Amino acid sequence: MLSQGYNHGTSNRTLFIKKKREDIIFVQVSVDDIIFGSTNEVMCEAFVEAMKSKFEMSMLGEMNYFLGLQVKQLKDGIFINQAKYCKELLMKFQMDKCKAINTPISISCQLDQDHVGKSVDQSKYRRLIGSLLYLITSRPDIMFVVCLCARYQSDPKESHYNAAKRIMKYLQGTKDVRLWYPNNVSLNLTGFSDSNFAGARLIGKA
Amino acid sequence: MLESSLISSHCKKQACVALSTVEAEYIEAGSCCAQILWLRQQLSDFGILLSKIPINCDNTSAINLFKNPVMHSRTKHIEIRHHFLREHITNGTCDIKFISTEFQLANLFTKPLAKDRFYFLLNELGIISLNCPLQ
Repeated sequence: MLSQGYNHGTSNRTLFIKKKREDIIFVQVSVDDIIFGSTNEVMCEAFVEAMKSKFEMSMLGEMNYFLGLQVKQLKDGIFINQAKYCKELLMKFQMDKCKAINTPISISCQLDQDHVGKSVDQSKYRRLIGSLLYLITSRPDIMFVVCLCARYQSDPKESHYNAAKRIMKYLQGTKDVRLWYPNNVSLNLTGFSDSNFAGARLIGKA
Repeated sequence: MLESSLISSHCKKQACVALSTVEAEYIEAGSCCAQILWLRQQLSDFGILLSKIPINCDNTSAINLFKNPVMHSRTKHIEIRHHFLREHITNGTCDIKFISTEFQLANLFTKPLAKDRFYFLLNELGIISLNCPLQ
């Protein structure tokens, strides 16, 4: 790549950039998958030619599935979701026929280490949390709950498992929730930072 | 948030014990700043250069602590590494701003919420559903 005149991204070493006057091409490599985009189609074609001459690869056209993320490109924006993965997850844990719930966690729910509770199968709990963690990529709405449940992986009790089950019930009703990235907006970065000190009563860590 | 779309978020139990809400918010804003700096670097690759990136925080005491570094009994023990954001405020890469809790979008990642509030935040974050609109 470097011999073709591409440069590394500053913080992301697998992003390659090439500039030619006004035009620019970005190539993102993740192990054996490549996505690329450019302001000029000629540059895209040149890139495809260059790659085909060196490696055996297939061109899949416009991106609609990448690393488990379903991508839908519309005229006024892009949708990203993992509905397929979500369905498979529910099937895997036999929760595909459960009743749907509106929120992923009840407001009165206070999870703690629960020393007196009944233990549950640790490997099953871990499998579940692992699968949910991957789903977070496109579902920030369950991020808090999944991270909360993930803290008790070393000694999961029934109360934790029930909380995790509730997440799946929530997913049942919101399988096709997606992230929306509209076009043509100005690019201003804003950070939001919040912590919940009062909620973390026992350990004092927010 | 890049304008109105969510691009990066994280939710984590803090690694150290805080003594007060202010301290917890202070530490959190510091780690948010680290995230912002990383995104800023990424964006500079795409030819977008930003400065004075606002970080919204809903705790006025924490903001005052950033702007006016006083040392008194409640704050003097805060470790130096948590003063990270202060340096970036002084040299102009970041800026800390107040936002009322109502519009604090990061609220979603810190505590269990009731239905109405939950769906309000989802809409604000650009998390939507096509078939069954979240109301």
